[in-house]
Amino acid sequence: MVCGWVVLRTSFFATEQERAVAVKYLGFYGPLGAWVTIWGSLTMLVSAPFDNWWHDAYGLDVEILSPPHTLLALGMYGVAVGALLLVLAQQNRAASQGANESKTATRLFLFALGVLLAMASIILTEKSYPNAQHTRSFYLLCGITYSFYLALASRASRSRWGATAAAAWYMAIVGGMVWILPLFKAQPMLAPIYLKVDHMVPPVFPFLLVLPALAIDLIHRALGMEGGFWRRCVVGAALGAAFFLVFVGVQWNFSAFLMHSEGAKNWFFSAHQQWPYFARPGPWRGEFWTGNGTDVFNVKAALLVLVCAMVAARVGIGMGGWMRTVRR
Amino acid sequence: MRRLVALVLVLFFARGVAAHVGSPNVFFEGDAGPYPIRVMIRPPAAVPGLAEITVRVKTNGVSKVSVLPAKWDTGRKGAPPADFAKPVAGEADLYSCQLWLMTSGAYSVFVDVEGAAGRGTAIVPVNSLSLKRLAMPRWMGGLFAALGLVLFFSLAALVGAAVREASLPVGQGVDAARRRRGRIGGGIAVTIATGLLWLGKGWWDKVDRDFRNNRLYEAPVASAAIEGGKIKIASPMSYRRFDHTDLVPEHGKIMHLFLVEKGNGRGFAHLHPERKNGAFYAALPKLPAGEYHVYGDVTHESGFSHTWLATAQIPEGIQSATLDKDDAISVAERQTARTLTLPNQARIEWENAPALKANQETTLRFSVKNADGTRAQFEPYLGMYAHAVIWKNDGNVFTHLHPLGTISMTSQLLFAQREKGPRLANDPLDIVCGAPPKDISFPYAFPQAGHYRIWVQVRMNGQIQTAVFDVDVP
Repeated sequence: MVCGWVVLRTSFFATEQERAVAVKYLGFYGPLGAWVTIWGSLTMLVSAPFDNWWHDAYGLDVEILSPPHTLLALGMYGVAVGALLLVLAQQNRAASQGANESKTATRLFLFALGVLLAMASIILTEKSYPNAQHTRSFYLLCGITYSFYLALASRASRSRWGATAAAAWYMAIVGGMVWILPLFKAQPMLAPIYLKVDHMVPPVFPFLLVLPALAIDLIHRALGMEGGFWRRCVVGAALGAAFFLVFVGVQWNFSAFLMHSEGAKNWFFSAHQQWPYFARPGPWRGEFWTGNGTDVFNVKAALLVLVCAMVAARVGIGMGGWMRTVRR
Repeated sequence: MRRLVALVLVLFFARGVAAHVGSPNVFFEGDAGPYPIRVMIRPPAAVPGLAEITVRVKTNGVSKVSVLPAKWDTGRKGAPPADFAKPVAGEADLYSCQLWLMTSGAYSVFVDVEGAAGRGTAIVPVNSLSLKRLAMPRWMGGLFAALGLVLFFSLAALVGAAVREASLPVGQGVDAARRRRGRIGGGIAVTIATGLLWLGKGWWDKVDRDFRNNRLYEAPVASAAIEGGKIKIASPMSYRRFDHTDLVPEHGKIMHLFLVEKGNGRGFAHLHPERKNGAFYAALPKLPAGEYHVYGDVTHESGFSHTWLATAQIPEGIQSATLDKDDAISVAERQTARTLTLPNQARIEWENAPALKANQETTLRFSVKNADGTRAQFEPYLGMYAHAVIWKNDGNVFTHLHPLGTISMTSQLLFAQREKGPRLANDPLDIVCGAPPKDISFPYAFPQAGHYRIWVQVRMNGQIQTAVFDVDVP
């Protein structure tokens, strides 16, 4: 609604200077971020009746990833990306004028990127349990998703530590849920209940993304941000490789810590209270899953993840480069 | 040894079915402690989904009615807090509630009633199953397509506008080169969005296939054959994805097998096969030759109860075999009388036939009088004082009813035992059929309009008496 108001105001009541930083779309004027947010909102609205019909046809989809939920997530992404573009345009205009408000806009931009990273982690929840963190599919999804986001953050922000700051926001947001949610009493309201739960169930402890993000920022600074297409491909490959090495090395061992160490069963890591009420008891909770041997992270899988992370980082750099130019 | 082998055609019913064929609603009429109640459960079309539950308490002084769904493998310990059923406006004794059934399999709804007479509980078993795949109405498909097109093309235009203008320095106008780049950007967006839509459609198709192949319950189709004067039913395997537990006897019988002559239902048999080496064998009574619907009611250890389907060709020349003492047959032409003479000369009257209407809850009431006009005395027949079989002449509806409703008594007993242990003495859970009734009544709602045939069976003086009524339900 706010973005709709911004568009109406810019179209009919704005000064020439205000309209000069707007994008013309379907005959109306408004900041690009406002348009993207409006599109995202409409997509979310359309997903609601679709999801309702889906429940009637196939039953309640008690899962994160289903076609109507994906449409909803697309709309949510639209809203978040729209907000991100609004502060991004502010950052870039302020930077080009050397204004102090550039720093505030940059901080807001990095926070918005942290929110996007947190949203991505929610979508990947079903593949992100510590038990799944020795699988091919986990590293493939994370290699594509987070390599892209962190390279984009490093390139698009005016901060020297863009990727690290965005990753820190992500960890703070998800970590906040891990630390706060279990403090609230709750009880399951649907049968069958296989696990007694008397508190709100937190998400899994966030990935230690600040470490690969730090590597990306350092390498990006060392290699430089400017250059032609092939130069950026080399940088993208380096960032993707850095992400791959650090992320796999960290999460491979950190997941084992979360699963098997007594030191993880406390308020901070919450590893002992991550299972929902419908999780059946069994040894599977303490094992690394392999999809019956079909989802193993072996050398072939590692090479695939490495290549995908490199390509994703290159795309992230390209997208980030364009985002540095957004002024409207 | 003469051996007759008849090829058996397998009949496949596409429409949703549950423990009874084409009649998924559950009816229970009994007591919750000191409170006589009637419960109707309308299961959802797809699971997880919401079941509609109504409870009619036939007495005053009730302060609270609550309902609780429990899955068979967790019981009440694995159930959430009970939901309170709300009084229905304008109905003094009716309460309603919605409950989520989250997974497929045997559930039971615990109905708790509290009031001046204390507290009582009734257990109503219900199968939680996806029974049909809802088709999207045309108007809805058109609306979603239109909205999808709006989102699709507005996204393409948005990407085009972003490429064209987002990077423009403040105040600078759009030149031809930027317009061209905007169009290219929009085209790329269209291409990517089309690819995503194609992937999305593939995903949807995969979900739909999985639903139809693995989650949608269809009555298991068994094979039936006539061998040496017996009918043999081979166990179907398709139900095992819904329940893998073994069968248990219902009223002392591992299966209640019904043969109904196709088309008019003239020939009818209620048999009780024995299980040998995984197959079921029942001596075949003398029935008119022809093609028959075969319905086999079975109950599992979990409490899951359902009906297997088959068809069988009953050949000429079947000699009447020695039947189980609880087997019964009937051969009756179509008739419209509402008062009939039973084989023992007693007279049975159907009291409320004209009031029937499809999908309307009702009570089928019958009174039986001896030949001398005195009220008949019933004896337990398979654990109940009366049985009714309701069958629609296209074979798509088949229900085996008792005065306490459509539920499986064994299922109810299993749920009660799991909650309270094997002994039920002094237990508030009401699971026995009680004292002999004066008249016979069955709670039910005909699920579709059409022509139905109803067989009512009682035991009097040790003999099973079967009455056959025909009725058109508008």
